[in-house]
Parts: sequence; structure tokens; C-alpha cells
Amino acid sequence: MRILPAAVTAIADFELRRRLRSRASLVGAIGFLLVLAAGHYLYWTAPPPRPEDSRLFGDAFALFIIAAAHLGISDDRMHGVDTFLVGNLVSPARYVAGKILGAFAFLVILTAGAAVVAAALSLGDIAYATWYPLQYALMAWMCVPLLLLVELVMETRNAGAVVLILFFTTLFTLVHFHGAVRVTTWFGLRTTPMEFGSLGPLAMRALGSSALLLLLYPVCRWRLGRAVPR
Amino acid sequence: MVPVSDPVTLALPASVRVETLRVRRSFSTVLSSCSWEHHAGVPAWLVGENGAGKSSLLRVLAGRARAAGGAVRRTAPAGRTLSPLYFHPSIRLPREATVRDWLRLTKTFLEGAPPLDEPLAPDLAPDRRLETLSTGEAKRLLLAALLRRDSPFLFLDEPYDHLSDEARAALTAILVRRARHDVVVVATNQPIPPEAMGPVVRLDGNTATIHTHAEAAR
Repeated sequence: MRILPAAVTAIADFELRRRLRSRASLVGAIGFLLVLAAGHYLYWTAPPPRPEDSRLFGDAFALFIIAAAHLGISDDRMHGVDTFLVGNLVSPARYVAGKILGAFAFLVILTAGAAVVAAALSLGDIAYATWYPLQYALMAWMCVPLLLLVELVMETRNAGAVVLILFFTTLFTLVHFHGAVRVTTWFGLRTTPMEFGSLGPLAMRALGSSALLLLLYPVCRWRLGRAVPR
Repeated sequence: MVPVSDPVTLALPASVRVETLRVRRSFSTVLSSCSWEHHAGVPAWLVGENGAGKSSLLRVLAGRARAAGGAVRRTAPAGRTLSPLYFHPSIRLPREATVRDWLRLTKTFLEGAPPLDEPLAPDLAPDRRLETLSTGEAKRLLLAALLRRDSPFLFLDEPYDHLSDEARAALTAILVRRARHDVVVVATNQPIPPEAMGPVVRLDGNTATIHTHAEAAR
């Protein structure tokens, strides 16, 4: 039995292939490798006891997000692809669902790839190589509704960078008024490295983001329902 | 303006009817009042100078933009979807994908649709990236997918631009066949192929002059 409509999986499959073939993903992957390798070089060359930090994992992941994270909705709009697909071949709901599913699949591949690289560079430190990719993947998924909004409103190929700027601007503004402890608690960012249970609040927020995507559908419908050429 | 019906096709069910239609582009009116009715049978053509409002009118007919006034009524035979097909010349193929990716995607949406009788889709290597296609090749790939899709309404904006003679002939044959049962409206600056002649709506200075099939053929 098919769980998702064929149109949704077809859009997701197409989006994933596009993403994997894009130069932005290649640049992001190279940047990720270089920064994570640098982080591990600093770690392995430090005199014991070595610092128990992320070894630049967060920086490497953020670099990849800046280079390659997008749903493709804004890019499609800039090239009239949505004008062709939405209405002619697929409904707005299935188009958006396919885009989000494609982004989810890409995030899963990115997370798995990042875990493999982290495991190799850390010489088999499985706790490190799974905890950090999981934490950053959950953070990334928590920001997907914001990514969707950005792509519906703005014409950009670098929606990931825009989201990162918006996210940290919001975070630092809130911290200024409410303090770091309260704000990081609100966002589920009070975690303890290598303790998987501490990722629970973040996971709940990432799950909540999925629900928020449903609430954003009317905005998508409004933006895509009359997909018109530029 | 008095509504004009094309007598040749009046008996056929799929039709589009505009009543005192007013169309704006950005903040200016490009069509002040237009009433017209077109039935399936032969393609209809929107012609006029650049900026006359052909694309704006076509968008409104296709339901991709709102009219500033008046109404558009599309009537389809019972059991057929009302969703119109629409093509605009600014539509591009996604750059990063390959021909194979695109064909795999469109195959899903065209499940059960019969192949086109004319060879409109170009013969391309499956691994070729879409960004390397010429404008004409990309357009043929897009049109080949669109024209396999069933709908009683087909609105095409400048479909002939960038096409080779062979592709133009194939497109004309497809449109003529399709127009027997569906409403086909084409906006163009190119010469209208004689074999596809139908009613012509000429846009000029905010007004539309409508020539019936017989008048246009003369």
C-alpha cells in the first residue's frame, strides 16, 4: 500500500536528485570536510587532556547549511518552474509536501554522511559521531518552517543562510532581554554533549516544527495557487 | 463590445467566455473591456504589439491572475476537470537536474496519458544536464510534457518562439488536433500557421478587436 501519493514522492525524489547534483551541495560538502578536519586536527594535536567540545562540528554543519540548505521553492519561482508544475501537473499541496519530503531526505543523508565522516575523523568515537550530527539535524529541522516562510516570501537561492541569520539574530535579541538560560531552554538548546536524553526537548521542538508546517499551508496555497511567471 | 461566437464550433461543449473583461498589468489597464466567447473546434489566437496585453489576458483566461473587472467563465463537458493548462515563455527547466530526472518526474504525472502523435520532444541523452539544453530543446521538453496532459483548456503564451521548423510543424499539428475537443488559445507574435487558423483577438490600445474564424481566414 502506498503511504504517500506518487506525486509527492516524485517531487521529493526529483528534488533530492537535484540537490545531490548541485554545485552548492558540493561546495557545502567540501567546506564541511575541511572545517571538520581542521577541528579534529586541533583536537588530536592538543596535549591531553583534550577538550570535550564539538571539534568545530557546529561550524562545519552551519557552513553546509549556508551553502546548500533550501527547499527549492524560491529557486523554482525564480525560474518559473512552479508556474509549470503547480496547476499544470501537480496541486500546490503535493508540490509543497514533495519539497519538504525532499528536504527531509536530504537532511537524513547529510546527517548520516556527517556521522560517518565524524566517526572516521574521531577514530571511531561513536558517541561523538552520532550525538553532534543528531543535535544539529534536529536544530536544522526545527528551523524548517522558517525556511519555508523565507522561500515563500523571498527570491533567493541561499535561503539557508537567510534562516541562519534570522535564527541567530532572534536568539541574540532574546538573550539580551531574557538571558541565555531562559532562551536556550525555550529553544531546547540546553543540552549535555553525548547525553542523548538531553536532546529530548530539542526533538520535541523539531516535531512541533513539523506540525507548524501544516499550519503554514494556507500561506503556501496563497503563494502558489496562482503561480504566475515573473 | 458584443460577444462573438465562432459559428463553426458553437455546438462543441468546452468553451471559454469573457464578459466585459478588464485586465490590468501592474498599475495600468491593458484591456478596458472585452467580451468574447470561444468554443473547442479550432485554436484561437491572441495577437498584438509587445505590451498590448496578450500575456496578461492569457493569464486571466487561464486563471493565473485576477481580472480587474468582468468575468471569465470556462465550461467543460461533464466529467472533465476544469483545471486549465498554461505555458509561459519565461518557464525554465530546473538547472541541476538531468534529462532522465525530468522524464522520471513527468512520467509520474502523465501515467496513462497517450504519447503525442508528433515528435515534439527532442531526442536527448538521458545523462545530459538540463542547464546545457538550448532554449528550443528545453521548450520542446516542457511542451511535450504539458501537451500530453488532459484538460479541456490549453492556454499557451508564445509557444512557437525558439522552435525549429520541424518542431513548429509538430506543435501546430498537435494544437489543431487538440483544439477539436479542447479550448486552445495561443498568444503569439509569430505568423499564425494557416492550417491552424481560427478566431483572432487583436489587442491594441486597451481594446480587443475580434475576428471570427471566417474573417481571419480571409
